Amino acid sequence: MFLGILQLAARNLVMHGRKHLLLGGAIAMVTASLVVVFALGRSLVTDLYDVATSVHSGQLNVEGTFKPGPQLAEQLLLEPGPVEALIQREIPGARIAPRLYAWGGVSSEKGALMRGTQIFGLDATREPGLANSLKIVAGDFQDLARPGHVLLFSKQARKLEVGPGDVITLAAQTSRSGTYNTVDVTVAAVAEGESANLGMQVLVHLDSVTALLGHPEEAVSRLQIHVPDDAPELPVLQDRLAKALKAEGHAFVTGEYWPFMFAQDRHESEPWMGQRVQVITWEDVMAESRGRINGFMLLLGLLRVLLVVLVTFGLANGVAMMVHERTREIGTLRAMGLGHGLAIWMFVAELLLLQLLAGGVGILLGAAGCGLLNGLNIPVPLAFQVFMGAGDHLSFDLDLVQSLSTLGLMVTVMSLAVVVTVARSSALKPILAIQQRS
Amino acid sequence: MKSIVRLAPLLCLAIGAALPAAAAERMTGEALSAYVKKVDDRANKMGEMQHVNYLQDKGPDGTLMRHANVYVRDGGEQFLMLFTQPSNLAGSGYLLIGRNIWLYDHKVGKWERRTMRERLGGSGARYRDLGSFALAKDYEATDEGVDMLGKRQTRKLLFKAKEGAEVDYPVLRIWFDQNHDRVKEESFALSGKLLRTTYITKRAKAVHPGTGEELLVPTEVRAFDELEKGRETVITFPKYDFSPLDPNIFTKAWVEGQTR
Repeated sequence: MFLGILQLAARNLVMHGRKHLLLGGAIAMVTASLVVVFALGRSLVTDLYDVATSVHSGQLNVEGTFKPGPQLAEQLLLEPGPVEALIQREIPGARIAPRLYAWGGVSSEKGALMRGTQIFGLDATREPGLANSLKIVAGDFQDLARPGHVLLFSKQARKLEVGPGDVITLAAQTSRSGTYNTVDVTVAAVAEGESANLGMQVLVHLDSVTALLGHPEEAVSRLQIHVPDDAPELPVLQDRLAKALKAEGHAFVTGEYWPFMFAQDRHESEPWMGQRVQVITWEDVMAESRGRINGFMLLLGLLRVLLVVLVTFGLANGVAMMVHERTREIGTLRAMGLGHGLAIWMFVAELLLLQLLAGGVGILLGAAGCGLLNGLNIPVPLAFQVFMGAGDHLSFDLDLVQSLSTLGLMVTVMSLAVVVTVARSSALKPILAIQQRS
Repeated sequence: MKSIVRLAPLLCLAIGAALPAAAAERMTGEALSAYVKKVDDRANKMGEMQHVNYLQDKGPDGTLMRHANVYVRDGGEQFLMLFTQPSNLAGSGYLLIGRNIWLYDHKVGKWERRTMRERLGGSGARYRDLGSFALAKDYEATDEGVDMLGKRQTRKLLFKAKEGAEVDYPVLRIWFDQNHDRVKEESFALSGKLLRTTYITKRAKAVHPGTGEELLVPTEVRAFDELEKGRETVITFPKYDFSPLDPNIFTKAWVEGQTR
């Protein structure tokens, strides 16, 4: 019975080829456009997550704030050893990477980066994720594991006119006395990276930043935690870690989390002294970029809903018109003994088949379009790069789940339109349906 | 050529005689302390004053211009800088209270605490460039002898920051003219790298209305960033005023009152 209906639906598709081709073409084009829009949105979020959890942050982080005096705050965890042991105990299998942060100047014989460049001190041997996420265009990432070495991003290397093996100078003020200091470091490698999220910082061996800021050898700013795949959700781990740290007597920074450069004033106006910690997620660290992307995604989402609603109702109207035009055919079939329900099913099957075929073609077209657009390397205006933290070229990351779910929504609405129209037509007496003008 | 060969022994003798003489000229102990005190006194002699200054920061990425009125009392212990240009900054300013500099944003009427190292108005100039400062308090001096800067004879002193002193530059090398006025200054990082070279390029005579004393005030200062080649900060002081200042001028309320 079911196969019979499908067979009939397929024959009808062929018989009304021209009309179906037009309708199917429209469905395919709309689906393809939505696939491309979803791919752009997904690419932005994926890029942010990848950059955030490799360059800027761990999935979870324990950040220290140390106040040697009531009016001086430093982004410092003086004794990271016991905290590391606690993290290992609470999140078995977690990968921990120490980071030490500074802000300062970066210069070479031929140029300089903007004042207030972020200087990320790290131990490259403990950050395999970083090596995987960066595309090295010159030099060797492994050299970053050697003291006195730095990794630059391509636009920085261009501005400084340096390459691997060249020496550049990092300058910053020590946090305690505010005295200027410099260290000379050798360029280990240059990584591809044109976006705002990847052009504002240089990655340096931890020891160089320790020497630059005059900090104690052990001290770090943050312990970045990369959790194993089978670990519970991040909020669960965050809560667990915070409770364990509290239980071990660690004091916590109170209030909402703000990146240290914005929170320093607040800390320095508070009366407490000594060491405090915070357990934060990558989304806290990237709150600014995340907020902008969320806003953009909301706009994209609204646009998507509007597009889907308009297009779906437009298509549904077209489908209804097409079915309506076939009222005489329905009347004839009914006169020949076809049941009311069966008539509905026959048309639903026909349209379902059409939509699935057209939708499938649309998804394939969309995927091909994404590939083509990726290949075209469409440049992104600088303002958009800075605003969104996007790369200098648009990228499209196919989002099949979103595309299929939207196609499902369109199919459902159009099928409902078919059911309503066919139900109305088949409710007519067959003689009246046959007499109806097309 | 022959004459040079003939003169060579004489030149050697002259240099040989000059070197010990220069070394002997180097001051130590009380003489050096007295010299540094004179330098500090000279710098702080202007006392209470108001001056207009133009900050111009020229770099590879463009030029930044700031105009401001600066008010100084007690040799720079009290300091206020109020921007007059550009229009978006006019009314904002820096006020020194204790060891902290407070930045006032007139648009939101909010004060933000900054440090003495703040680059004033985003330029390359710092508090030390505009207010006076006491070298003897924060630095230990070493005399490096007499040095010629062009045709001008100067005395070169090396200053190393005292233990625990909160200073931007831990090492300074300063050239003073015969009046004990700064002529040139090199500022070094902890690592020993030269960061900035400053020249006092122009001076003008002024008479202090209170003491009647004739002063030589700087009217143009040029600071060259040695790390960021091509970046230069030019500070010009077109107007000095030594009239007594409003007693409440160095308060937040006074500053806020200027923009109301």
